[in-house]
Amino acid sequence: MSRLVVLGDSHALALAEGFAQLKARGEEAFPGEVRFLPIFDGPDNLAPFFRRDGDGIAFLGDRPAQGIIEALGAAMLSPEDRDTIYAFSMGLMITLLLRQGDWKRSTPSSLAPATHGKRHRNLVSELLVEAMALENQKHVIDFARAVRQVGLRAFIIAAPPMREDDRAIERGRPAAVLLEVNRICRRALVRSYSEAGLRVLEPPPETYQDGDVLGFMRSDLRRLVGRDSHHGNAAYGEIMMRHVLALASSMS
Amino acid sequence: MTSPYSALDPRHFWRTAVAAENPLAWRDIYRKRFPIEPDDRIATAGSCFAQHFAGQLSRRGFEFLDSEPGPPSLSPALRRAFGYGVFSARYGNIYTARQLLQLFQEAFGERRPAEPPWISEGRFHDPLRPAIEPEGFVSADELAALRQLAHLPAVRKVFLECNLFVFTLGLTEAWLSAEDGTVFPSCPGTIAGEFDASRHRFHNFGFKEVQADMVAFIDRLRDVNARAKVLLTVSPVPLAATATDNHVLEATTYSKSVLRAVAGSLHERFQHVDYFPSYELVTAPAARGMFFEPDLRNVTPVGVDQVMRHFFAEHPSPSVPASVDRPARRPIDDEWEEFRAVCEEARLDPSFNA
Repeated sequence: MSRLVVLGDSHALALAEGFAQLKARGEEAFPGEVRFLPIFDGPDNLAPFFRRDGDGIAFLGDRPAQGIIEALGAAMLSPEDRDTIYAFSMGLMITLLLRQGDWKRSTPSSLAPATHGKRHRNLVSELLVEAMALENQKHVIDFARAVRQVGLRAFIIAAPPMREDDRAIERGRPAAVLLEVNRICRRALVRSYSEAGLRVLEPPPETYQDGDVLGFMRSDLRRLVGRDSHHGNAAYGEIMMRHVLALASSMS
Repeated sequence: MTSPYSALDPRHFWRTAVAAENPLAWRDIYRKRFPIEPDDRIATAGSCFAQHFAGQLSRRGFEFLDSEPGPPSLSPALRRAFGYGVFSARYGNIYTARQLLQLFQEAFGERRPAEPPWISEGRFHDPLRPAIEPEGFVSADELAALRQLAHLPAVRKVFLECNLFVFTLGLTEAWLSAEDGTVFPSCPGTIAGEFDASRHRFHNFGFKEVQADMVAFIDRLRDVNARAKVLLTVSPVPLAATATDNHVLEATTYSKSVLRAVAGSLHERFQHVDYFPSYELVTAPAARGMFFEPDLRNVTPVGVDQVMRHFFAEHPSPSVPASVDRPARRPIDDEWEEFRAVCEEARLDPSFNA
């Protein structure tokens, strides 16, 4: 009997909601228990948040440390638990990077022809943007390497597509610039996790407007709560969980 | 009995001014020709030793001109790795006078280098600043876009807007394009690209050539910016390697002698040119090599501090009281690592990465 643990940041909430909808319809195709542990806030992963502990991985903060004890009955993630598959919802949450003031004036070089001559548009190289993403998610990349080294059965669930109503756009960053920065950052991070040995499950084309994976999230998949401008809703979670469950089933 | 020396003060005599003093207590070595006003926009360029000026000027509240700033949130490590804020624009190290002159000419549309991008491991390096992107550009188009649309306008701005241009003369030896004489900051095949004896040639600039290049640059700078003054220094860092037939010690002495002599001649010739003796402060025999790292090439933090103390004693900033008596402070190792000069020339030595 396998167990799937979806562990990570606030995006795991939509996944849990989506799974609940699937389950209500009897469509939760997974041969085992599914647990959801949204034990991090996105910014938690921008600082050291784990440590290697013998053959396992323990979390540093009280909330995540308590969370896995309560949910899993163990203080750390251990490869000895061969029945558990971990789906980490973290590592591509670059919302804060996109909301930096940098993108008011800086533009990836790939947009040079479109922005040439426009005031205050400083061109930066693609590899600089990549380096910013890798530095931003440095601790999750280290975590992915540790997961691989200790031998956990795991994969990463990418954050949702960028939303057209994201606060970064509202604050004056050009949408085209943000989409391009987002594309470069995701590409670099997916490559980095792959090199670390973890597969990344990215949002499928059907979660994007017009199926364009270089564009924004479909507007009907947005979570519309308060001033939230970057989470997906239960419908988004349902789409993602179909893929999560399929991948996890193939690993079980 | 009297002589012209009788009335001179102690700073004129080697025994009293140098030999009898602890090098850390030397004083009154540099006397400014003109003041640096708080609102003067200061631009920096030159060899790796010049990198120390940019950081120190900013930290002391001077108006450091940075015409090609990176994204504001860049970490210090990325900022440095990608050449942001190291100098006033992302030109990397400018080791020779000819390289400086050619950069000026290119920035103002007076020349267009013929050398194609240097390609290493599928990435494209700008031959005129091969280390500015640590892994190169992703395409020749990106390289061209960043040079033509971002870098050269920024360089032009440096020359048009600076009130003081600080330039550290570094080398006389250089590698050139055989096609159009474009000078590279490093030998093809060291940082990137491949050396091709049919396309690349060596040249060791002599006094008259360096002087002519510097005069041409200073004149052209004044043409486009009548307010611009110039402050020259000579890098105390020895050559990492020589491509001449001479021993590297002899080649270093030749190179530094030429550069020091040119700096002196320019100081004599132009009233708006000052000379700051960083070379002498670090390399003087009385210092017994104490300002060099064990490799006898890189300057220690104490050496850099020594140089800067003398500079800021004559150019005090509002934010830090000047005193040549202030004891030298060694930054903690981590901090020093962050500020260690990026020296492309060191890559000439094949053992650099050994």
